[in-house]
Amino acid sequence: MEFPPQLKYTKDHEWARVEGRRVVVGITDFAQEELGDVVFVELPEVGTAVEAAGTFGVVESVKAVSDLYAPVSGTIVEVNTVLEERPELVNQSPYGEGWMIVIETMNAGELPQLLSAEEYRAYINQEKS
Amino acid sequence: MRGHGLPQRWRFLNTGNREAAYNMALDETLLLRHEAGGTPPTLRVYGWSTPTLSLGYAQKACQEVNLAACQQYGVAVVRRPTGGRAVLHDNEVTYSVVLPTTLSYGPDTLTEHYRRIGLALATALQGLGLAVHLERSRRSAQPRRAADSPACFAAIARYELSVAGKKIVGSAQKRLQHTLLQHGSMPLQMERQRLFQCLQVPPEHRYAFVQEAYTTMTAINEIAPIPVTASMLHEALRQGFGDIFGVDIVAAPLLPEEERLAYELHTTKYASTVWNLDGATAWRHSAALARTS
Repeated sequence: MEFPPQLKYTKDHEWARVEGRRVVVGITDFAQEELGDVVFVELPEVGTAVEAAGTFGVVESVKAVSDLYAPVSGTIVEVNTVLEERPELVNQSPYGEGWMIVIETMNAGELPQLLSAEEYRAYINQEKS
Repeated sequence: MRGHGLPQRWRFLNTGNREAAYNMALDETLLLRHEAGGTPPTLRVYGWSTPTLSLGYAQKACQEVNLAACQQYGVAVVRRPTGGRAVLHDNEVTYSVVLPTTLSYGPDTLTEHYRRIGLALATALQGLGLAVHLERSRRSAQPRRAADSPACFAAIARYELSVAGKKIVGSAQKRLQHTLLQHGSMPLQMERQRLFQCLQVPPEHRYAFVQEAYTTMTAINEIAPIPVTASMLHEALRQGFGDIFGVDIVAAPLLPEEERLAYELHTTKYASTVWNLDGATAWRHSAALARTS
């Protein structure tokens, strides 16, 4: 299972790629593996405000409907609308074509609270034990 | 509530046969109130006062439901808060279980939760003499065509229950940060013909779907060694979950705040045609418009 070291992670199993004030968000390889085949992704509209740890969407797999939680607060400036037609990209490429939203954050103070790849790996190992 | 362990006592709720909108509103209420803290894990059993076709969270009613047939046969339509495909609820026991996602022992993963609840359901049915099998393979055991069926019972997922290869419990789950809701249909009898009449199945394929359904899905009283009543199954479920999770499950009433939220969700969401037929996104837009007007 892959957790790219350049990304940040949350205990809700989202990843965040920080590009200045833009934060690209998706769900982790562990999350997509646990969910199984993703059949539906519901994402917000561009311009929506989100809170850190607040919900921003819904993912449905063959096993469960799960809420999606924002790693940082801010405004959604991009949405991966391709997932409406191709939700399987979340399974096939969770860190690539399966990205979900881009948040423009005004609060850089939230970023250090996210987990590193090593911390996230330790967290899921603890969850699995 | 993050990180709290599993209390040793759960609540048992038997809410009897109720209408579709109330049934879904109460399941979502139990999930939301537990997430907010202050309510115990709950095992609920219930039935349906009117035959009801329930749809998964993301199913497109206009493409998958034959509304005229539902009206003709007196079948209500409701959308679940959980995922999956269509289920016809009639002569059945429905279970719902609301738990923290952090169990006090064992892995805290979706797969483990599915497995543990599957074991509890299996224990309940085995107690009634049924030789149930907990599916362990990762993918549907069904051929591709059955997997494409709009009916939930047409495909067996990992950790779902089957008897002689036929699905006997259809379950679906919704997860929040700290709480999960899993509910499922345990048919005592099954009307396969009526199910496919209520779905938008091309008429030329309906006969094949119904025939296939006899090989892919079954009901408790089609295979039980002795006739099983709803109350026998309620008690078996209470014991099965108690044994597998190592808890006492004791009858206790709804709290006033749960009654209030269930009433609100009943009237504003699950009795709404927009939620039931147009879906979650359309319902959220209409709710936002109602708030601003």
